[in-house]
Amino acid sequence: MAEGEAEWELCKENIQPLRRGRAISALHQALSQQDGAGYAAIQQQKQAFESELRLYSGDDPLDVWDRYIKWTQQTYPQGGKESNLSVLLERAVKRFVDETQYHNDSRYVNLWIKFAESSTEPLDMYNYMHGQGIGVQQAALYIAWSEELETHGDSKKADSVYQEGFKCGAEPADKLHQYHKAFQARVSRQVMKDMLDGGEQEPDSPEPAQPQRSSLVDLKPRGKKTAIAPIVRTGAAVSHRSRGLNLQLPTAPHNGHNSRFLVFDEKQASAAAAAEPSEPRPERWMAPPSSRAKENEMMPEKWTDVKMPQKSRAGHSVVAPPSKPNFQPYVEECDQPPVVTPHKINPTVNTVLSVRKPSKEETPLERLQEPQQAEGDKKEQSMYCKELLFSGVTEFCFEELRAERYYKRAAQELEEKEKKLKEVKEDLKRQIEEKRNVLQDRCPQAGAGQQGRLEAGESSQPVDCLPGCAVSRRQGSDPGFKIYEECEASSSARVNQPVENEDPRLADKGSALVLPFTIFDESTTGEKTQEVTSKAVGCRPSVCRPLTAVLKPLAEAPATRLESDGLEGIESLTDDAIVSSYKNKTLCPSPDDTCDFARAAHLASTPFGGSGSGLGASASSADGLPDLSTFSVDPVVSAPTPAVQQADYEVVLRGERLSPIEEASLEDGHYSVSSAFSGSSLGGMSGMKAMHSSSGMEACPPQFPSIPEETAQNVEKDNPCSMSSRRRVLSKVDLDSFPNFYRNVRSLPEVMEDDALFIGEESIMILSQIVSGENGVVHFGQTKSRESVVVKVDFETVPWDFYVAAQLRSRLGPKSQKYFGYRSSCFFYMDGCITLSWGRCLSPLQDFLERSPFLQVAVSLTKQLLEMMEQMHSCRLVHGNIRPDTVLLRCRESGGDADSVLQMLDFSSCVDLDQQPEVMSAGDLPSAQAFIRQGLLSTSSSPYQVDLIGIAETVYMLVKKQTMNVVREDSEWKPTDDFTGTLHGHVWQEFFQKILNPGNQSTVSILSDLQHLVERIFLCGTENNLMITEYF
Amino acid sequence: MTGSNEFKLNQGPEDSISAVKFSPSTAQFLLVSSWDSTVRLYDVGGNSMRIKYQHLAPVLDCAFYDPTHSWSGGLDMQLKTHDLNTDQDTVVGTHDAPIRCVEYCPEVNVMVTGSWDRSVRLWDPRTPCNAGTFTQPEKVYTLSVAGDRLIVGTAGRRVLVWDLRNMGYVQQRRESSLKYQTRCIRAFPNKQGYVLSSIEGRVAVEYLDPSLEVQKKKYAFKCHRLKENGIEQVYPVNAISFHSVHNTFATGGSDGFVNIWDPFNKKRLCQFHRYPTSIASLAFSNDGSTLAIASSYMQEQGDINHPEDAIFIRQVTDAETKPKST
Repeated sequence: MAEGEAEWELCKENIQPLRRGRAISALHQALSQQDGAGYAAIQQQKQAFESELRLYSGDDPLDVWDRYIKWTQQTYPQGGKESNLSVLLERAVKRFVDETQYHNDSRYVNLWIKFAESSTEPLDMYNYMHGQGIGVQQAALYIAWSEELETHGDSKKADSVYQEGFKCGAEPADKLHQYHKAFQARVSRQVMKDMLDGGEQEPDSPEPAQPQRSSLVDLKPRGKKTAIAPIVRTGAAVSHRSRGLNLQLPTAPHNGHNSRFLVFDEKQASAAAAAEPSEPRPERWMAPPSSRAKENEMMPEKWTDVKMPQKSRAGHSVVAPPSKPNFQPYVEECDQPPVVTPHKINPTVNTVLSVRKPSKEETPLERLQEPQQAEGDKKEQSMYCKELLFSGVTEFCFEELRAERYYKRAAQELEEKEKKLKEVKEDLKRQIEEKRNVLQDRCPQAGAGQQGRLEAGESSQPVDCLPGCAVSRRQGSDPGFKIYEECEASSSARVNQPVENEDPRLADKGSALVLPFTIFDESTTGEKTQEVTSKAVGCRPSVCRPLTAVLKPLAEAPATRLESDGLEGIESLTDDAIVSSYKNKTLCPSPDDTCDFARAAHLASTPFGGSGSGLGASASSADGLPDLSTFSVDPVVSAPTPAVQQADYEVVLRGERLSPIEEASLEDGHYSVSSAFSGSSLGGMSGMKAMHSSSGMEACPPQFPSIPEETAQNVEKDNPCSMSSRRRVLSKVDLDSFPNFYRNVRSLPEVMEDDALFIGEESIMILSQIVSGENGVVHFGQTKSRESVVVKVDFETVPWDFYVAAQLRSRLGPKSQKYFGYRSSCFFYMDGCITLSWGRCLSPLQDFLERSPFLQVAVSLTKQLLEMMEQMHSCRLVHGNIRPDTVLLRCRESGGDADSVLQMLDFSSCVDLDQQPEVMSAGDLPSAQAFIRQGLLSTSSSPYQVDLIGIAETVYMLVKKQTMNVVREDSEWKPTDDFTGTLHGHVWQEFFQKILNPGNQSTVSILSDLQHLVERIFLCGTENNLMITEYF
Repeated sequence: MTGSNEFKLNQGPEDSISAVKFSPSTAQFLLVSSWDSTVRLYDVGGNSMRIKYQHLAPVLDCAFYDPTHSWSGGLDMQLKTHDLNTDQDTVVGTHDAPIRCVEYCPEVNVMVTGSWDRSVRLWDPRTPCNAGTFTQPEKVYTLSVAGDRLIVGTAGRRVLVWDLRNMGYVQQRRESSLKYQTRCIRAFPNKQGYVLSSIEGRVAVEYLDPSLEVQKKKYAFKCHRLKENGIEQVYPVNAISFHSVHNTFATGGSDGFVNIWDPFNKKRLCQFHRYPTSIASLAFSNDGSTLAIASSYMQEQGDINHPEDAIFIRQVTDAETKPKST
């Protein structure tokens, strides 16, 4: 901008001022870019205007000209030849001279005035205009006219012009008045000045109201001066305006002469008003004054003596015809040579080079009015669209014209296409609306399944995919249902869609489902808590109330938007999930059927849960999940199996906190039956049972939500422990590059106890079974070379443990051997994998606990546990499930590290934060849900803190031999038992206080702090080592 | 009239034809650019279309660089070269406004394009890349190559002569001798001068040598005018093509006639029959044996119904094209 300003400052004088001002931006642009980039753009714009001029088909062609001229003024602030402004003006003016509708159009009048101003004889123009009736209703004409007269010194005339204006009722009248007043003020000031100067008395006192003829007379050569000094009030005395390129001086005497002449005439005529003199004018000024060359024009002294130039100079214009004297305009007009734009040779009217001399005298006006006839007179007919070629200011060629037509047509076609597409879209939308209405009618009667059939044919329009609210049932008469009902039909429709719908549809369902839940959670927390206790299905509808309220707007949203809201879980939805889920689902709830509810709750919290499952993990409100993870007292029940069947959109609803106690039992039982990956969770099963049998512990380590076998493959991406997310991680990693990873194309070999397993190059004797589950079996084994191995047989083709162990080894280096085994190999089969881990392990810690270890031993174990976890955390692995039954005690090999008796082999809940960056907080971990529900963790805590709590529980077990209950006091968590009776109680207190309230500290540092803490206890008794050896 | 010496090409373009050019080495192949946005290569002998390639918008001109490469440009402002052997396109460059003319200069080995963006650009055909942009005073309507000189006809009836080996300045600035818009300029094969046609049924023969004696020889004449009911109908003269051997030239106008003129004797040698509609373009083959006539309405009188556009191939004889030695 600064540069632009500088330019402006430098060439202010070159800028033609505009009455209405110049846009500073255009000014800068014009000044700074004389050539180059701006040039091309200007040319393009010009071309556009030119073509618009030719192809315009509307009612107001003046508009095009007007805009073109305005643009030209702005773009060419210095005026000049290139702007063609004068040509433009002239053309525009001439073009509409016959169209009376424009005669009093202010734009047209302004064009005329501008044209007049830039000509050499504006007065002629004004007279002509007045005669033609152009602008007689416009104040602008009178103002400009009288200004011109004033400049010429003819104030009397000027005033008469004003009077004329008043008489004609020119608009806007107040403007006219204003200018008139100003004019009179000027005149009187001048008169006063003259009076003072000359000391002469004017016969008439200057009275603005009177025609100022007398004063004018006096203003003429004053007494002192006899010379006819031109008292041309130009410049300062008169409001200045741009005279273009006119020369003032030569005209001054001329004008002075003129004014004198005129005044003289009027005096003699003794006409009272100016009206009378004006009358002859219309007769005299029938033709518009010719345009003049603006510069380089010879101003002939005697018009009769001027010769017509024979030939134009190369590349330059014809010399304009001689200007006519003012006093014989009539004669002049006839003799006017054709109107020629001086700059360009206008072939249409160029008679200079014509082989035919103008045969008769034509006024330009006549020529304009009857161009065809003129041509006809000349006996020639142009067989082409001459007018179009030359109707603009610059010429066009045939191809340009055709190109413009082509562009226009192309634009039209494009518009039509767009319109058509819009119509199609509208049409489809309408269809969907109709179908939706139809569904609404049908919904009350039919059951889900029927509805599904009915809607089979519905066009799958992802655009309006609504989340499949599981609840198609209409329950209760809660006012909230109103909203529910609105989209209930469509939701049920969605719910019951037959499988053959395309995946994107499902995906949208899911996505739509998932997204609203988050909103739902935020907005309806309050309501939820109220509903918590009620187990009626009535809850569900009300649950879905806010849901649908949210969903409604979403329903209108295009699918893309929904999907793009980042609901990753959706894509992994497969038809299987939906099929299996709703096939068995009963859509009509019995309000009192808590089993249904329980099942739903369970499923709601499973990662799969149809579309909503993803939500389960991602919603991180853990509303559904907590129930799963809550501990239940009841043993495993068969209920889970049907619960599994239920998958379903009920799940979706679960959004709210379900009663922890009852449901949890079902969940847990379910868990143990089918802990997906943790088929090999050592002692998982037994551990679960053990845990169950012990007193209900609220802070039970979270179980990773069990995934029923059949739905195992439908886990949402959002559950980082799910099969699919692990598969993803593994697919990113090249498993084959790990040492000891063997791929086979066979199916899983049979592994039976007390049998030999031939695997790889090994033959292993399978010993006792540690744990067996639906997803895997774990055995102890012994190789031929008498090495103890732990054999894990997974029925899933996701060798997660192997992967984690390998990662630990690679990330920790040799340190890993202390706690994580020194060698493992994995054999990958078509339908499963077998992982061998070397290391003689005895039993899970759980078993050891039952033997009531000494406190010192507990301390030592604690320390080891802490160190182990510190190692894991330091390489960005979250274990996720530290419990007495997942930690192994191992046999100390001779020569091995004496201090490490713990070993971790079960990584079924492990999450690799390197490869799974989507796990960003504890809320993402399924195993953390219980803690979150309790409040020990918040959804945004670091995922590592899950392990801290796991450690806390384990240690508590070790120390106190009972499960830990925590309570929140003074904004801190602490175990209910305050260790007052325990040895080193205060240390333990501090320990638990630290571990349960990690805050934002990094867990690695916390763990090392705790280690130091525990050291203090440890060192107290040196006999610990002996103690430990005793046991092992 | 149409004896066996003339036939219509099959598979003609679907819209108006903007230019026809024969291959520089043979009369066998003809390049045709059209308002249907395609450029086609025809096998004249076999009367079939060999290759067709597309532009994004109507193509206004085309030219051969060598028998295997064609260059073309049009309303899409892109200059394209097409390898006729491999049938591969390349966009060489662009103008800021539609490209109106494409020509090749063998002496300097450069492709020349003129555009409505008031510039002439040179292109190196081997690389291919831009070899310079030269501003003209007005929109370029036509151009022609005479040896190593370039004659550019622009709007405003200007004619500029450039030296292709030295484009730093304009060699000659002229004004058209005709008082109407320049329609077409073609240079003499003997490089002595050029022929200029306008939209008002007139053709001028001018010479490049600025010396006065030579300049005296220039002249203009009326042509392509029809008298009907006492009114002379004036038609634009759209196309000019020179016979490479005899230095005679053919003109085609919107009246549908093709005339062959002898510029030295100032006589008309021949007039062919009237073609269905305006002649948009003419091209003599390199040996002068064949004349391609593009009869295609150019919307001179607006967008009206018109006879079908077609390309006629005519075998011309010496009788029609050789100056009468009298």
